[in-house]
Amino acid sequence: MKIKFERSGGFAGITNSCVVNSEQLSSDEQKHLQEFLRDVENKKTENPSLNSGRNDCFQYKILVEDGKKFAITTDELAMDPNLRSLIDFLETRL
Amino acid sequence: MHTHCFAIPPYILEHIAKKGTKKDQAAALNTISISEQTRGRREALKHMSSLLAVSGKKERIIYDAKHRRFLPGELIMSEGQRKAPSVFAREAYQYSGTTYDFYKEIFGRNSIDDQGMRLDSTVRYGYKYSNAFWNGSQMVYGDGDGRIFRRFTRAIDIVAHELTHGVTDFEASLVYQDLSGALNEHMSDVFGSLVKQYHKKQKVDKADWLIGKGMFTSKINGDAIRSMKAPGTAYDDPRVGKDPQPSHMKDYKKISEDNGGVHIYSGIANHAFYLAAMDIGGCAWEKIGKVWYITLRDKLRPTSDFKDAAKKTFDVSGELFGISSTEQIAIKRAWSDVGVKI
Repeated sequence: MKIKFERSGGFAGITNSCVVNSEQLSSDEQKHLQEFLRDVENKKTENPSLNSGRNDCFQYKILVEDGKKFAITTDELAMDPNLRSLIDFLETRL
Repeated sequence: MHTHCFAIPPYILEHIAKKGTKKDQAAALNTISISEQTRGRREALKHMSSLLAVSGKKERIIYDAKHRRFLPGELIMSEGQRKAPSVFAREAYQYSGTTYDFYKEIFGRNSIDDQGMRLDSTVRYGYKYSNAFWNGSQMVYGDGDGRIFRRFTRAIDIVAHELTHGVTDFEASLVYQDLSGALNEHMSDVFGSLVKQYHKKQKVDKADWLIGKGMFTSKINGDAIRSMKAPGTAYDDPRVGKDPQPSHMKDYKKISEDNGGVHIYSGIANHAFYLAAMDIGGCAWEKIGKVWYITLRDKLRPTSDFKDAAKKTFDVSGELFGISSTEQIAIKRAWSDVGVKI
């Protein structure tokens, strides 16, 4: 499974991105990632794209490729709380 | 009180916002702010500001999020307190005060909403959080990660930038997307820079025209986050990339990241302001600053773009200094030089 992650905006307006390949993660990390994604997938049909329009917030894009694909665009004030753990995890990879 | 709880009826929240302890007031206002987002934002802001009005007196409150992400955090400093509990609190308190004084003394504006709104700031937001933002009712500052960024309270222009987002919300209410969003960012950079110049009593030729100078750690090759004088030259380092700001409309293209490049294309308007300010000379807040302020306050609309801003600043400079005055000609030439024809 591949996850493409992008963080843009913020006061500095610097865009960072990374691709996380789950096969290259430790077994513990893989387990955590699966848990995060299960939370997100359960929620994904509710509202995958939310933007608070608030000034200088970070904006996030997540594209998960796991046989099927799904994408999420959000910012830090609008995001579903279920996404926080996943984004915290992905931000450590930037 | 949980800051994201919407189960409390609005009339109770309003009562808490008016009569509660300072901590509960802030939490109630934060909840009102979030719940009102789906209604008219401008109306919500006006409504909230009436709850925070303090009749023409400067009033600042500083909270500490203690590295968590809950707003507003613990109250650590109030107006008039002589000793700040931390460098973060001292900077947020002092610089928001200077920004308040600037708007009051130069433009006669009574705080963010022009009705005496209290200035609330939260410091130490998040863990190694490298950002600062305006959430619709208060300023929020992270410590920086210490690897790339330093603390976000250390630059007076960043504090003034965030407060100006509040002013913009109450006035032009520029939509934070694409060119209207870039214009929103531009206004915050302009008044951020003007507050810094006013604080340092600098004329245009002595100003550095940098935004967020010294925000990068010594490990990063970068003087600042943006340059109004030379957009695209503020930093260049493998860890953060190269400053992407253009200085001319020929380099504009529609993009999806950063709400359509609001922090990228602001460089075009920033450079126009710099060129006009240098041409006019003196203290930038006295003439061109006034033109920009009146334009933001009275002339721009939520979907205004650079062309609208150019036309309106040209019109306002004519009203203030006369048709074909040196100021009006300088403004027209500056916009033209960045590819925006009037």
